[in-house]
Amino acid sequence: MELVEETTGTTKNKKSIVDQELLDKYKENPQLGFQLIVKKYQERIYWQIRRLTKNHQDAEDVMQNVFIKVWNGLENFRADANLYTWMYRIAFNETHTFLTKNNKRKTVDLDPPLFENKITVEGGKDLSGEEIEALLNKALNELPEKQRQVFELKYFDELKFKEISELLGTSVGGLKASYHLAVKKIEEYLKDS
Amino acid sequence: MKEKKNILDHLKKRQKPDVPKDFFENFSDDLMAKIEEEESGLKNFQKTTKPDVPAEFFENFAQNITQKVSNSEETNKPRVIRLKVIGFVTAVAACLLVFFLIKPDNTTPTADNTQDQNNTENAEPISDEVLMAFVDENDIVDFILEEEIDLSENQVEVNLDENTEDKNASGGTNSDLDELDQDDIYQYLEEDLDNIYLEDLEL
Repeated sequence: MELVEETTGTTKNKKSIVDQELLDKYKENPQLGFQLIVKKYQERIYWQIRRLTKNHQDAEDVMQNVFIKVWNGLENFRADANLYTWMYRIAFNETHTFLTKNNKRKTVDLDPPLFENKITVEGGKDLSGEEIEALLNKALNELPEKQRQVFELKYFDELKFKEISELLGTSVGGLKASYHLAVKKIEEYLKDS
Repeated sequence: MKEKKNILDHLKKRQKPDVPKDFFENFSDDLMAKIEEEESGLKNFQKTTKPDVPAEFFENFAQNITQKVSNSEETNKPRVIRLKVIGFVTAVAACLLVFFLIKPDNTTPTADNTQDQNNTENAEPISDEVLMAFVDENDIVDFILEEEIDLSENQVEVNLDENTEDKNASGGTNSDLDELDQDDIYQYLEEDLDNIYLEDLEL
């Protein structure tokens, strides 16, 4: 996919041509355009949510709420904003609101930890996969939104910087810098814990 | 050179958990169905008809409310208090109060007043000489001089002898009475009246 290059050539956010096409479709036919948007981003949003809810049912409920909010907000969506970044923010907030409300609910089977192995951190302390995941989530919550988003797309979804660049409308160089900073902060957080 | 590995590089990520079959294929359709259902919820409500309103209520409402407002304005018209009148009345009242506070109360009988009254009733008639004791001596002197009263009789004669002793020694006569001035008469009367006054009081 191509990016709509700005004449200035700066690393400023560029609107993805995909976003523009989707929004144009939405203006022509809101329901059809919205469905295209959902199909385009649903899997990314789903895994973003499920990593935290740890089960499909909750992830589905949260994702439905996210896209209902997207539907309600699309009419006033700023033309210069990035569609996925906007939806990512809605999903992040919705997921954390859901987890805060349902933090004591343990009736459903949860997904296994994200990591299979355990590691030994500095000082000889062993961390299980669950402990590492919990620490990683805490570390991610400490990051600025942009760094967190880039880290998740690169580390968990294993997208290439080029793909992330197309998705977020950010230059590859800027994404690499953001990812590098995110990794550094997470490492420090894990070592200090 | 050995490459330094981070913690994140050591972690082995588990495979993504399963997702129900055709979930992503059907999600958008299911979502749209849900959105339409939520949006159509309001449309499906069958509203009842509005309750009845008295005939011509809205036609006359504006006129009625205007009339009520004007009536209440007249009823509740604020009173204007004239401060000048109040000030005048207050000043008069203050003056009267001061007057009655300063003026001695003679109407109320006290022990002293009663005693004085009894003494007056029981006392003997006061002689002219006693009354004279209470007359201002200057007035008496003025009266004698103005009326040109002859003081050559009685006590004046005696007193004149005393007072004119020096004068006689220097060859003076009774005809010198004409030369008596106000001070001389005053000196005489002072001594005489004092005696009369003291004698009467000793009673």
